[in-house]
Amino acid sequence: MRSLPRTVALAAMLMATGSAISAQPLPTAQRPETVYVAAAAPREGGSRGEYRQVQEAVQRVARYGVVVVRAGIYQEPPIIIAQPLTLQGEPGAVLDGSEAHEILAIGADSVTVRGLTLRNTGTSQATDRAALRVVEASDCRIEHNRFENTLFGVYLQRVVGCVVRGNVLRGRPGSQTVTGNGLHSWSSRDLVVEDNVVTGHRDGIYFEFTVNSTARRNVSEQSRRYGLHFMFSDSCRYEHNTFRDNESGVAVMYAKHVSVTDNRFERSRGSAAYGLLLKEISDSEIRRNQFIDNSVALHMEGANRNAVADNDFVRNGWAMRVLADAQDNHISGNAFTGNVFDVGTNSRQNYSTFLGNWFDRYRGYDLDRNGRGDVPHAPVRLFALLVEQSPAALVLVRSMLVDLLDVAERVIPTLTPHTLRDEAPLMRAPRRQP
Amino acid sequence: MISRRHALSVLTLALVAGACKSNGPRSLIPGEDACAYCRMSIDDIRFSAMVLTARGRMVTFDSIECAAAYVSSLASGQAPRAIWVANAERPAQWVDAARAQFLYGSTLRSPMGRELAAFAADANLAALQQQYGGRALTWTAVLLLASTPLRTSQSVRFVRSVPRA
Repeated sequence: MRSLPRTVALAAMLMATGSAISAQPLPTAQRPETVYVAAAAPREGGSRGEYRQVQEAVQRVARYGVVVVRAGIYQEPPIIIAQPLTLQGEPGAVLDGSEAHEILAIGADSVTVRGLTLRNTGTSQATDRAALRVVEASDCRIEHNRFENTLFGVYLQRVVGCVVRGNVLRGRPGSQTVTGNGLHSWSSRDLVVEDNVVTGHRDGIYFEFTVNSTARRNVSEQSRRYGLHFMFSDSCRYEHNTFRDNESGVAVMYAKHVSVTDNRFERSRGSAAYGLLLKEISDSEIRRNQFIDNSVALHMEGANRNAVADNDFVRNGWAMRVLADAQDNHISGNAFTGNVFDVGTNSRQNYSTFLGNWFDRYRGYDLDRNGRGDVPHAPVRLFALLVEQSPAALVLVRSMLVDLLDVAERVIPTLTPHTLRDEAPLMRAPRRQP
Repeated sequence: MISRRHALSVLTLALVAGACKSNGPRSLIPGEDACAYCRMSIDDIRFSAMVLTARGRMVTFDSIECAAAYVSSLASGQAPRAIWVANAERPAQWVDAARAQFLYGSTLRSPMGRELAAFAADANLAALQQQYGGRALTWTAVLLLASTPLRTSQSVRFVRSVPRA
């Protein structure tokens, strides 16, 4: 990668944070492979190469060397890493931003940051202040760190091939405080984000203009907005993550070739909350996910040619909302259990296929015993259409009149989209692999 | 008698008028208001916008990008009565879109990726440009921009052109 823009970006960042560190390392030959940093004065006969400041140590160590940070609290100006190295925290090593500035900035390839606690960035209205920022670098490893009381936790900008693994991130406490995103990636590529736990940020994980990347086995909860949010991020995979109690759920927008599999979307409740919101998503797959207890579990708008298969929708307000501008989606093998509305739509037209799903509301029979119902199932309740027109009607959801309407509509369909039918609904709930 | 009846009708009229919503923009509630175009819930109000439709409905947007896309998708007879954008420097302040000044591709990261922010009509745009970078645009230019897909931003081009490490 060209280094000029990187230097410029880092310099700009430093100016913004008001730091005046010269990052001039010693000549390579004289630098030790391993150096230590200790906040307290070195003990009697303390090891050579022991520094009091992390900044000093990362400049004095050899390229690809190791900086070991002893237990202690380090309140330094923003630390800049400008060469490949490993920054290793011993238990109890804390880098503290004193509620005033960013903490660690990486502007070199092949940097590993492991085992540290980064805390107290303070807040900023004008800039996206982050505890750990990586700028135009490749192959970083950010592993097993803790981020506490930070505006943004990890901020990757124009980064290639980084791994962010096993970190714990907690946003700023209090419901009215300003928060940033936990793991934020902008204009990056080939990332792996796995086994992290993110709590109480604005968006737990945010990918913007980030391609060919994977997020797996993360837990993202209690986000002020989205547990996972990604925009313009093609060819990404999201697997085995858990998203729960996020105020607006998960939003996947303006992307193609996205794979969302084996995730859990739980308890997103509110008027603008979605288990999973798909907006302008095409040629993607949504498979084997569990949607539990959301206001709207899966909302599809401008979403085309997607496979929605083998998902479980349990106890949601709306299990699926498929708007008329969602076309050629294939919806099969899903199980709908205990939802107020299984499918909602805003139109009498339907351009997607429902086939071989299981609905607990299905009342048909299976005379030829092939496991598929002989009578098609129309999963859109008449009342769902009325609510789409005037949401206030929702107060009547449990009334007898509404039940009568639904029965009448099922017998003689007049208003519900007649093409939105499952021609071969399953007779039993599909058995899932454990 | 007449004067009393008159007073009564004036009172009734006042009550009715009071019950009607005012036609000015209201303040947004982060986390509760959602964007009518992209459906995102509105969190960062610095980039928000509001439109009063031809039928008198107030519609909220998380970004200027979304408001512009919404406005340019309307049929010709449905031109909105008013369009306001948030002043990025003082987000609680609404600015008439036609009079606002815009920066496009600035370092202010807007929710929809064009990095599009609005400022007051009398703001010193040259100074703001110095601070945040980007190109100066008028509302008309922002509307023109809305006809190009969001995905063709600078940032995407960067990602595509990075050589594999």
